[in-house]
Amino acid sequence: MNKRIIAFMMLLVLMVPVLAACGTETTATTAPAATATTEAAAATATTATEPTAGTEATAAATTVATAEATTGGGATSEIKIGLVTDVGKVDDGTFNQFAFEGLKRAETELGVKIDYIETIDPKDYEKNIEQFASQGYDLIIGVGFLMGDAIKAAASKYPDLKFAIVDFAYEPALANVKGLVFSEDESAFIAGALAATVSKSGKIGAVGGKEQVPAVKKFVLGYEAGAKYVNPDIQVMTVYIDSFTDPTAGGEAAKTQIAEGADVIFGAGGQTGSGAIKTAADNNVFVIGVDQDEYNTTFKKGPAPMLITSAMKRVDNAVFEVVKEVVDGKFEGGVYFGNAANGGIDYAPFHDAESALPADAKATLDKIKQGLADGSIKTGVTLN
Amino acid sequence: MSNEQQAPAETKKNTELQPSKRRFGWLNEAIVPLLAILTAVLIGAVIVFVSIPGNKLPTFDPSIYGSRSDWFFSTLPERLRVTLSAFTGLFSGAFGDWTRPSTIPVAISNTLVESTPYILAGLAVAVTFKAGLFNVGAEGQLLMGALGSVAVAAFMPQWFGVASLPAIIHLPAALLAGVIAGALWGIIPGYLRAKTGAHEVITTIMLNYIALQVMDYLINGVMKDKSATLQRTPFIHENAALPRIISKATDPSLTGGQAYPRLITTTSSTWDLRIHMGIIIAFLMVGFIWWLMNRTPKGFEIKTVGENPEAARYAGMSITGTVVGAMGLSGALAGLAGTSQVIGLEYNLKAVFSSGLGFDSLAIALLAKSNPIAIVPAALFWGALRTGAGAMQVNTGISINLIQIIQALVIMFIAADQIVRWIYRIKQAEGGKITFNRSWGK
Repeated sequence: MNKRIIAFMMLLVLMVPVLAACGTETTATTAPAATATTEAAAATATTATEPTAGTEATAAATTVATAEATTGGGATSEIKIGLVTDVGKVDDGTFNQFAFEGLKRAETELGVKIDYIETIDPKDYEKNIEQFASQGYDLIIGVGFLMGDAIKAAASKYPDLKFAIVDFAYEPALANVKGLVFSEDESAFIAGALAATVSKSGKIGAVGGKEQVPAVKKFVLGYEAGAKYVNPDIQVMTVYIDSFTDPTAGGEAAKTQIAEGADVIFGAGGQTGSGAIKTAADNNVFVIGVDQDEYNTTFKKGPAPMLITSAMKRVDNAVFEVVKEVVDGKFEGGVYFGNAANGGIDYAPFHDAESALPADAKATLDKIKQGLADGSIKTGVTLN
Repeated sequence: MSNEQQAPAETKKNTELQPSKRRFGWLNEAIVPLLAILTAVLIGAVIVFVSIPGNKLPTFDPSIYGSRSDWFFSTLPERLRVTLSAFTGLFSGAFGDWTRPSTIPVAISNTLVESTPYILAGLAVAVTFKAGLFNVGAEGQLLMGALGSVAVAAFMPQWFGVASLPAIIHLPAALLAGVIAGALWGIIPGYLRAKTGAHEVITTIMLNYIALQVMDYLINGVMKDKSATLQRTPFIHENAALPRIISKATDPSLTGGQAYPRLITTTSSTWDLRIHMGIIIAFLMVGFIWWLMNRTPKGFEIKTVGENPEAARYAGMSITGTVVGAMGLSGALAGLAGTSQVIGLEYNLKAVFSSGLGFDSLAIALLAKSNPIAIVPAALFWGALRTGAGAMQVNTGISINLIQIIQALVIMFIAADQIVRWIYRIKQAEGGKITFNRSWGK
C-alpha cells in the first residue's frame, strides 16, 4: 500500500524543481517593472546579511528584507488599495496590466499596501469588489467600463470607502467615486497622423474590438481623423470584431485589409487588436498598438521593426494619481479626464522602427500633440 | 468492458452476502470523486508552493543566495506559509473568516448564490447522461432561458399596456417563460437526434452559438435599455423578481427605480445577503429529479433507454419520445438556471452574461456521476472554489487560474478513475459504471 503512495509522492517531489524553474522564470520577467523594489530589497538585505552564519540566518534576514521592501519608503500609514481587474489578468498586456503597473508604482513610491483580484466572470465583479470593501480597503479600483454598475452599487453600499473606475464616468458624479476616463480620440489622432505619414499606398486599416464600447469607437474615429488631418485623401478601412479576446479573428481581419492594399494597421481591441497587429507585422506591414506601449507587451520588447508607435492611454498615471490623492487626503469624487494637455494620453516611442520613419516624425507628432493640448487642433470626434 | 459486464453479478452477490455493505453503498460511489478532489487539491498545493509570485517572497539576489536552488530552499518556510494561506484564503472566501464571525453569512451566501445555477444546470446535464445523451448545449439552453424570462419580466406589462402586473401573475409567467425557452432549445436537438440521428453533441454545440448570437442581437437591439451605457436590457419589473431571502432594502436609484422584494428585511450589513429563492427552487428540482428517476415509470424509461436502447425498444418503450422528453427536461432545467440568475440575482440581462456556466455543469454532472442528490455537493464544491478564489488571490498573489487547474484535475481523475484507484488501492467499484459512456462507446 505504502509503496504506491511513496511512488506518487516522489513524483510530486520530482516535479518541484521542474516547476520551480518555471516559477523563477516568471519572477524574472516581471522583475524589471519592479526594479525599485528589488533595489530596496538588495540595499536592506546587504546590511542585514552581516552575520553569515547559516541558511537559517539568511532566511530570517530575507524575511526582514521583504517586510521592509513591501512597506517601501518606510511609510508607517497602512493605506490599503484593492484592484479588481476586468475579465483578464494583471499581465495580459491590456489596461488591466497598465492599471496594475500604476498601482505597483504607487506601492514603491507611496508605500501603500496593494492587493488585486483577477475577475473570471463578469457576474463576479460585485463579489470581488465586496471582498475588498468588507475588509475596509481605503481605495478600491475597478478596471473597465463593464464594471460601471458594480462599482456604483458598492459605492452606495459603502459610502465611507473610496472607489475609482477606469474608463467610466458617472453622470451625475458620485461623491466617493472617481471615474478615470481618457480622450482616446486625441491619442489615436496622433497615431493616425503617423500612419498617414508613412503610408505609401494611401490606404490604412484599423481593427477594433466591440463597436458598442465607446473607447473603441473613439480610438478608431480619432485614428481616422488624424490620418485625414495629414492626408485628406487617405482611405481608412475599419473592421470591428465583436470580441476582445479573439486574436485569430483580429489577425484574419488584418490580412484582409492588407490584401486590400492597407500598409498600416491599427489594432484597437484588447487581444483581438493585438492579434491583428501581430499578424500584420509578420506580413511586413507597419502596425500601431493601443492603450499602452505594445512594444513591451505584445512584442515582448522587440525586435519589432514594424511597430511604429502605440496610441497610449496612461491608465498607469491615472491610477497612480488617484492613489496619490488618497494618500494626500485630497480625494474627491468626480472625473479624471486624461488628455493631451495633462499627459493622460500619449504616443509610444518608435523603438526599432525609428530608422524607417521620416527624420522629423517625432517633431511632427509633438507639434500635433501640442496643438491638441492647446486646443488649436480638434479631433472632431463625438459619440452620440 | 469485461469488467463492466461482470460488475452487476458481483454486486448482486455482495448485497446478498453482506447487507450491511449496501447501507453504505453511497460511500463506495463517493470514494473516487472524494479522492479525486483530494489528489487535485494536493497537486494544486504543489503548484502554489513552487509558483508563488516574487512580490510575496524575498527577491532572488545572487550575492546572498549564490544560486537559484539555494534561493529556492532558503525560502521554503515562507513558501509553506503562503501555500497554507492560499487554502485558508480559499476557505475564508467561501465560508467566511471564522475569527471574524460577521464575515460568515456573506461568504456562505455568496457560495450558495454561485452554486445555484450550477445545481440546476448540473441536473440538466445529469438527466441527459442518464438517457445516454451528451448534452453540451446547457450553455445555449441557459442563455435562451435567461432571454425568455427577461423578455417577460421586463416587458410583459407594456404588452398589455399596463404599468404593472400583480406578482402572482408576473413572477410565474417569467419563470415559465424561461423554462419554456430553455426546453424548446433542448427539444430541437432531441428531436433531430430521435428523428434524423443527428448527433446531439454537434447540434447542441451549434445551437450554443446561435443562442449566443440571438442574445447579442436582441440585447443590442430591441431589448436594449436606451438609457444605459452598458449593453443590457432594462431592469426587470419588481413584481417579476424572485425574492431575496434576507437583505437590506434596495436603493431604487441603482436598480432603475424598481424596489425588489425580499422575505426578511434587515438593516444589518452582516445580513445583507444576495441569496435568493433560486436556491430553494434548485433544491426542489433536485428532489423532483430524484423522484422522477427513481420512483416513476418515466424515469425508468429514461434510464433504460440510456443503458440499452434495444432492450427498451423491445420492451415497447418509445425511444423517440424518451429522447425528446429527456432533452426537453434538460433544456427546461438549464433554462431555469438562466432564469434564476436573471430574475433572482442580476435583475437584468447583460451582453456579457453567463460565460461558461453551461460548460461547468458538464463537469459537475461528471463529478456527481449523474446522481441527482450528489449534484448538490458537487455544485457546492464548484461554487466554493469560485467564491473563495478572490480571497485566495489576495492572500497569495497566485493567479486565479489555479482554481481552473484544480477543477480540471478533479475531472481528469474522475474520467480516468483507474489512476485514483491505483494510487489509493481501491478495489473496482461494485456496479458503479458510468452510463453516459454508452452513447460514445457504441
